[in-house]
Amino acid sequence: MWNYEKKLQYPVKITKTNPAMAKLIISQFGGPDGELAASMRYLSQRYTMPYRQVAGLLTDIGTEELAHMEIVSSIIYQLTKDLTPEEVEASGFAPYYIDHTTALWPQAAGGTPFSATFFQSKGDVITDLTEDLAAEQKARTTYDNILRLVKDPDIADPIRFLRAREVVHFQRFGEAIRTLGSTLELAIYKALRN
Amino acid sequence: MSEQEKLLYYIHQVCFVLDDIVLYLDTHPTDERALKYYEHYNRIKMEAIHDYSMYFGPLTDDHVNVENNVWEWIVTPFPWEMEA
Repeated sequence: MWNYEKKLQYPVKITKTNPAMAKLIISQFGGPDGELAASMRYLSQRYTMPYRQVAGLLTDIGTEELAHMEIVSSIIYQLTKDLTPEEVEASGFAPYYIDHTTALWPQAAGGTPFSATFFQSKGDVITDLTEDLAAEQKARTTYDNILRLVKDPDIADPIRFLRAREVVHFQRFGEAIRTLGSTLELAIYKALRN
Repeated sequence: MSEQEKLLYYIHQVCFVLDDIVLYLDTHPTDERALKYYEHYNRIKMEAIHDYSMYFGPLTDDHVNVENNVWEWIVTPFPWEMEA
């Protein structure tokens, strides 16, 4: 069951609109390595985890990713607030604007709509955790790419926070897979003996 | 910074600290220092959220003050709005 806190995990205060930038950052909302994909991946995988430690980690990181999705959405919302038609056309934002005005809709920067094909939930502890390690690095790389193109410090600030969290998540998934290592080896050894 | 901004900034920090230690405890469930750290900051968070809700508006829907005869949950700004 989810509760909602009426605050962002990290504040977003962007005073200068920039629809061109919004067009790129939207990948971290609805793109293949974005926060929605991350959240759905972890929250889907957790049910079949045979260890509560891992189910707990997936629940908690999956929930944090929803909070990150909210931060990314807030960034896009503030970057596209009160746009004039001229600003829409000049920034390359027009194709998205036609279908969504300035509403938030999960898609990648290139236009691909959000899809469950962006993630796997495979029902094997090692497989799923390995997927999760890759996912955090893919997200981190996406933030690196964004940071190379962002000039406005009001945008860079929350983006840098989100990037740092991906690194921490990677660390946690690594710890989970490492502590499981010996448990699983023992289980596999016992299974093979019988 | 206004009193409201100061308290909200403080709440942002305490909540983040807890978000982080919860993940750490998921992979280090018997770490005593981490458990004490969690207990300490969780108490602070609950008090801070309760205080903020009393003076500046609800942060969770179980902290809505109905004394003014209005559902304040939908009166105060949402966090993506600039006034928040």
